[in-house]
Amino acid sequence: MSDKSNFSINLVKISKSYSKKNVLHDIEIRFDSNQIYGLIGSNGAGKTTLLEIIVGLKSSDSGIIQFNSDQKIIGIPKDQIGFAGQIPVLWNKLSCTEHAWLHGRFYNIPKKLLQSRIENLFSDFEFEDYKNYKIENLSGGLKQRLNLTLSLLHSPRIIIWDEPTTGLDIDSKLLLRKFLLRYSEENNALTIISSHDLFELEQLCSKFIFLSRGKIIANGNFSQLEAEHLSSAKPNTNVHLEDIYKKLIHSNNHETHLSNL
Amino acid sequence: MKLIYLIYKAWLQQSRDILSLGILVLTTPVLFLMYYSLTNGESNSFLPILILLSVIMVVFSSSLVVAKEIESKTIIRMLLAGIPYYLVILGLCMVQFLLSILSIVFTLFLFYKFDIYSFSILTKIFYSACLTSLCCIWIGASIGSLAKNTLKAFSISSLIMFILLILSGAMFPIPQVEITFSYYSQVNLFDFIPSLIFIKSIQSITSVNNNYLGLMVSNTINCLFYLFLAIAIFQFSNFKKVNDVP
Repeated sequence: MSDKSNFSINLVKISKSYSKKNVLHDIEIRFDSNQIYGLIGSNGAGKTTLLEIIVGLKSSDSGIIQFNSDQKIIGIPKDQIGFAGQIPVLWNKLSCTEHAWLHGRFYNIPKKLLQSRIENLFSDFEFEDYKNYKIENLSGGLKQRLNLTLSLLHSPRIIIWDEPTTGLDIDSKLLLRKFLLRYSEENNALTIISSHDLFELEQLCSKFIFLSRGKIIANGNFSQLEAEHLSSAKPNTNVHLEDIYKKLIHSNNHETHLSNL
Repeated sequence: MKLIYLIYKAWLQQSRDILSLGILVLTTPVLFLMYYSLTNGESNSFLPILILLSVIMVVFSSSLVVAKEIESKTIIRMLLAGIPYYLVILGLCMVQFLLSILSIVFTLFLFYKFDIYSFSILTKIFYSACLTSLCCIWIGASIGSLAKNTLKAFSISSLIMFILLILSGAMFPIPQVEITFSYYSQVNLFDFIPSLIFIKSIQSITSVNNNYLGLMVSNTINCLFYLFLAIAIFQFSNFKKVNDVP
């Protein structure tokens, strides 16, 4: 894949169950580059599991993941993925710079390039003041900010963030939003973000995927979703993602409840 | 090259935990000095157990290191970077091996200083101790991979350490338990106990018994066996199951 070429990820009939309980059921969706996808769903809907299957941390029970479906590549090259989970996983005894340096070397980034990338990213995320701090001395929000910074250190084309704004203050959220939009555009990257912060997703994402009980119940851009699911809304009223969420998730839960009776 | 960075990372973590570093490296030399001063150097009967202690303590430390990495999920960082499982486990455990060597060297140096054993005997003991230490590290890594959390790893590895100590033959005589697979091949189950082979090696070295090389071969085979076992268990228990909860 050339540096800024278009690419896609195709999920074909992905299913996963834990102890005979279906967590994901025949998920089929295509993700395209230069898009930021918002993955929305209530707790236990299967968001984290889906992201971890895409990243390769978990195997699906059935189905395949195609990277660039034309080329018939199954699975995503690991060095193309920048993943940050909902809980920052960091080595507590290391300093932030040591952490970033080791992370970069694990991805075989040449030393000089790595040095400049660390400096640039720390500056972009306003992390310079903390670069020599040990991880154990950082606050939860700073740990999360470092976690997100590290996920971008190897210049991935696919960014997958699971609840990235957990613990972040307002300034950090603004910083993150600004940076991600720029990064995504400059690198023609594909970003998937799972979050409960619907306001943040509305600001960031170009497309939204609603997941309920392991099934995709809706996906598309904001205007499509609004037209499909909020057609009854009064004209000239300010519609937000939250309204679509309420309509979709609550009606889906109600339907499931009725079918279970 | 990645292995070097993995070892460097493990060293940074370990070196900043001074207490566990001190316990691992200095326990046996300090115990020896206490024992030597109490007995005025008149009895050498506990010396093999002292060296064995410096060797098998790594069961404990390596199991904790591996379990901690799984428990804190930092293992994800390495797996996402595409580092193979065997490198991850080697990177985690090599520092334990280096610390174990330090502990062994300190202890053997004291033996040399107090004229207990000659240099050539100590050299042979050192080689044997290194192999046994590697076996113990792989056993510890297997325990850590299975336990997946430090509390469980702590209790299981303590138990295994005591079993290794008791079955070493330095405390009680160990019977031969042989399983006959066919008319020609017999397997002695106790040949899989690295501590027993180590004590036999020391006895063989100090009594100028010519069985030393044979025991070194047994120890090397054990070392490889436990290495593959550790990698297999590590991979099996972690393969895409790092945080397998919905």
